[in-house]
Amino acid sequence: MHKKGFCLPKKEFGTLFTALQSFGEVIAPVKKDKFLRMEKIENPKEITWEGISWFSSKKYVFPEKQTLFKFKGEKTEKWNENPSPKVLFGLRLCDLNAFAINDKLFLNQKPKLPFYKKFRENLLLVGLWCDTPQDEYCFCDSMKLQHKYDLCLFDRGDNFHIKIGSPKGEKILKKLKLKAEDYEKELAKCEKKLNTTDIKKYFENNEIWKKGEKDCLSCGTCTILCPTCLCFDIEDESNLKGTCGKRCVQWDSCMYKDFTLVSGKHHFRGERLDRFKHRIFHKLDYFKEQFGESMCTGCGRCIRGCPTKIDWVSLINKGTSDK
Amino acid sequence: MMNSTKMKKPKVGIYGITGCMGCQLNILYQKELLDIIEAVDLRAFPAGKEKNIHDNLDLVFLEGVVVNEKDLRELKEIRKKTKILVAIGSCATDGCVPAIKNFMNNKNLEQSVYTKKELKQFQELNPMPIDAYVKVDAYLYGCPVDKQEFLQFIKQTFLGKEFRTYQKPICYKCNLQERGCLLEEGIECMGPVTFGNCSVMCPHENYACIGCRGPYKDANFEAYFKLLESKGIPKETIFNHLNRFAGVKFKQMIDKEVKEKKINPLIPAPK
Repeated sequence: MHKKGFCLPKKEFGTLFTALQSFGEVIAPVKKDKFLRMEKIENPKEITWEGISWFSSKKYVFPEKQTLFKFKGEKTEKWNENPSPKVLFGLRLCDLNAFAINDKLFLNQKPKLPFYKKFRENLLLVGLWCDTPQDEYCFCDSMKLQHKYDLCLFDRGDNFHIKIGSPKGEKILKKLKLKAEDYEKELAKCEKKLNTTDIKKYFENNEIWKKGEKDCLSCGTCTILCPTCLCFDIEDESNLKGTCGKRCVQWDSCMYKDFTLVSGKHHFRGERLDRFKHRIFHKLDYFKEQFGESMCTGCGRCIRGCPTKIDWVSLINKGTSDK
Repeated sequence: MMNSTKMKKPKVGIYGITGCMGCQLNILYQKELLDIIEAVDLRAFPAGKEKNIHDNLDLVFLEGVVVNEKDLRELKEIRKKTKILVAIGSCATDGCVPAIKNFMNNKNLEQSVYTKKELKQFQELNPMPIDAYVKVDAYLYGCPVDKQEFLQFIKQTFLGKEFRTYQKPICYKCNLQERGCLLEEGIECMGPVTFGNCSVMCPHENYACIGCRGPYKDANFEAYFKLLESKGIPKETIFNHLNRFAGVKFKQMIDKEVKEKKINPLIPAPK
């Protein structure tokens, strides 16, 4: 990444905030009932500058329930709303990379999800650089993350260094007339590491996976918190007579047995162990084969949020270093 | 898809055996009640209307638990009268509160029964969900039955679709609502082992799930008990929680898991 960027004194943060507000409503990390959540804010003072949001920001491009089309009698009407523009402020690099991964799936692939594009175009992503890992669950520096953002803020004590990552971000920053400066900072070094080399070899080695599966409640929390888990289910809703209604897309989870239920009452991954393995291998291997990069961004939410705290990263590290 | 306007209206009955009538009331409280009544031929609903025709039914919703011979007779008669029998509410599906009797010392309980006639009735049967005696075609869980789910069932059945019972635990919607986990706070929530698809209003209002919708078919009880123990929740509390609404069904599932995994029994025996 180039060194070039701009310098914004912290005292003048308000000017950046106003510029962001001119794009759309600002959503930033706010501490609220013991969780760091992404909430709409009106004042920069509300922002919590440390930590990683408990829930991911994927709902801003892919709401948990989204209408595809409505029908009335014989007529159908495609979903054609215009989402309001939003600024997601204070995203960590893991979340920013998650957006890029989701884009690969839903923007650059066919068939396209019509609503995804609309939501995505109306987002401005503003990052906040991690100087230190946010907690013991972070392992992003093992995931080869890239600089993918519209704007990114680096904390330099009295100043922010702001880097531009897209024309969209440049347009916002132009308004401020900031002084250019050179600055570079490496991403935080995490204590937690993930070694994914040769993971394929260990697919059949169930001894590794059984240790995690044993504690798995199949509750699906990991997939719902994950910023790149966007498996979905399609359901129709109608009135009693079936004369009008709509078709909706809603979040689903591969950790549920019925996720793979097909006609004839067959389950492709009926065993908990298969589901546990499938999620890990999809993140680290299958996606890589298809798109050349890992789907996991190392945000650690699946371990942080797991009720039984299944640490699959350590499982892999231990399992693959034994032999 | 069939055009329902041309379809013959299905003949529906709504009945109750031993229970609190809460589920039937919940049907009466449906916002869409009038639409439902218009869409069906509601032949029998003793709790809601005066004149009832009790035979030749297509679809019967039955509330209540079998606690004595009289209930059993009624249940078997209803089964004969209808093509489809739907168990509604925790009593019919899982046994609910009356079925706690299965897990208690009956000698002690008998001392609190008033008269000899009632004692005889008390001793007749052990309270059981209705599928212990007759074939049940569909289940609508909850104490009381969930209004939305009831409506969904009616819609999907009338449109000629199979009612979808996607097995998800309570945790799914809890996470969608960005609630966070009560277990993390050391509260004995039954979310991970309870069948979801309700409106999850209990966890939403900071009350632990008490399992009124019966077991989530893919629950991992071994992991769940281990988790509760690590939070310092006593075994007796766990036992009481499991037996409150669906003890019979929970026990079946736990016994199955113990057998499959070849592990030690997971729930403590009653005192």
